[in-house]
Amino acid sequence: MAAAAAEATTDGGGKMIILISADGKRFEVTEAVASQSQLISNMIEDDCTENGVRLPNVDGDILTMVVDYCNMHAGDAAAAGDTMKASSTEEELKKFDAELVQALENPVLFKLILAANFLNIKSLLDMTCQRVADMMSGKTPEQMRETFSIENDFTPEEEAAIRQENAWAFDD
Amino acid sequence: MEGRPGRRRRRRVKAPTRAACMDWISGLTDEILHHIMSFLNARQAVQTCVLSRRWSDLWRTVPCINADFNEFDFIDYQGDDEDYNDEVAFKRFVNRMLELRDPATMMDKFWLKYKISDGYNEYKDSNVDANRWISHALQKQARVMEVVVFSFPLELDHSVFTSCYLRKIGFSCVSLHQGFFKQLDAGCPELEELFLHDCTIADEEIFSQSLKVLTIDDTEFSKANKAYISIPSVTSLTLSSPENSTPMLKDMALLTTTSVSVKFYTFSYGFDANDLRQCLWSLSGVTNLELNYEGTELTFENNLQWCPEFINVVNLTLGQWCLDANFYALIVFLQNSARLEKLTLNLAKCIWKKSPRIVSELMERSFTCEHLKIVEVKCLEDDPQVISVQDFFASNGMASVQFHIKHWGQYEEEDELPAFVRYEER
Repeated sequence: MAAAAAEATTDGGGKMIILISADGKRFEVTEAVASQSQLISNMIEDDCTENGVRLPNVDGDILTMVVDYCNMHAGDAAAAGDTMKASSTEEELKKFDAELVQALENPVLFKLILAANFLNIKSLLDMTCQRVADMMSGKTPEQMRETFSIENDFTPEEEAAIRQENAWAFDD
Repeated sequence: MEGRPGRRRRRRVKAPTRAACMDWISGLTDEILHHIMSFLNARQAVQTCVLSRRWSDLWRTVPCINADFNEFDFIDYQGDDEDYNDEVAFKRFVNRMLELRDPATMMDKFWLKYKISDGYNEYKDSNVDANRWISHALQKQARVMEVVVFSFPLELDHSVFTSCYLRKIGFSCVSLHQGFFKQLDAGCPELEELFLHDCTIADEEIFSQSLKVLTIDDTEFSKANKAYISIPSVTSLTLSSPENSTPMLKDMALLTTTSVSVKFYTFSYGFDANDLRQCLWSLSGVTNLELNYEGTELTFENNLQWCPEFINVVNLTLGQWCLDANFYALIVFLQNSARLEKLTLNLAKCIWKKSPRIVSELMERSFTCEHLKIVEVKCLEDDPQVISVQDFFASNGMASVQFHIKHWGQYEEEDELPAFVRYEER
């Protein structure tokens, strides 16, 4: 389905651009796919994608996931006007997103967040941040520390003082 | 709650790699951490202050507040009245949080789930508190405000609604006094979306110059049979099951452009064919129309032109009622929707038969819908009406129409929460 969407835009005269990851991997995508990234969209507008777009802080394996995501979601905007088309792909998209996000663990999840933030892809950033929040939700601070390997650098006295100060939020 | 993370750990017995054991999350920027914390409820967001020094003050600058009384539901006090103490704890929490937040940090979204219990004094205090929090959020330039109240309705003090930042409001179980719409129109020029669920509206005139999306469901209009809606800028209007009376739509027909979508459900008694006529005529310019009627029997006289010509309708959704009296309403709609491309029929969700809602006879039963390509039927499994519907189209020379049959989910019940709670902001 993603391939079909990409072809359609190519046929429509969409230009291809090259994204280059930190470790030198190259990805050829249509402008429509790439411009889901606000960063790249701005570069396209400013005509500075001719020689490929170097992304020095995104690794190849993370960029692969980002490109897959963008290919999958490229139909979104195009199909928005066409209710029938949109409704048939909506379920597939949901499934794709759910599977992507479920599979994410430390540290790939955080690398993907950083990439989504850097590239400025709002929907991907929302989805990955939501995933982290879901991992925190319902947990005590101790369990959160364990989940994310957060080191407690408070002394026991300091921690007790903070809990005391914010007892209205803890109430235990 | 204790068991869940433990179980997960046991399942994953992989030796943890070094990267997985690193504290990645604390290395994120404040901005990203705020984004993550915006998805947490406020109590948990505050509780992150004890995680480590990195986290100790982050909660004070989170732009989205999601304060939910359920977070204090389980607090076990030694008092006699458990509810009372939950509420005290929640009120104290919201008061302290708003007081101790960084005063220079603006608020983007304010979500409040609140319970107002009975008892006059307490009820009054609860109203005062909630209105103060709402006012605080508006002063902090909130763009989105959602207030969901349980038990007793919140008596909203609308005088504080002056904000050129507010774009979206969602209220559930809120009592809107006279002057609410006037205040919004004058005080909130950027307001585009308004969702009202289980509210009461005292105003007779529901008007706005800025609203694009208006959804009103399960809401009582206190000026019975007098209320009217006049919102020329609206592109999506949903009215469902209004109680007491159905507001009239005024000045809408001329102004609706291309993308107005209307869902209209009514259960009100005393609603007659003439009311339906008035309502439909004000909607004749829409492109997407969803109409359901549940209520007392409607009798259509043949000389009553109750259905206008829907010159723009492309997508039409009708409920079970349109098949009553030998497909009466369905035929009338098809005769008047020349540009129709997709028809959706939402048939009965339960087996017990309701009494027919329409009494009438149709002399002319033919229609032409050249552009109609898809008929989607949502029904129970084995609903015999599906075959009747298919026969109906075949016998009217429309054998090429594609039928999509979808079955109602087994437990598809109306959600108790208002739709805007799940409504994703674009």
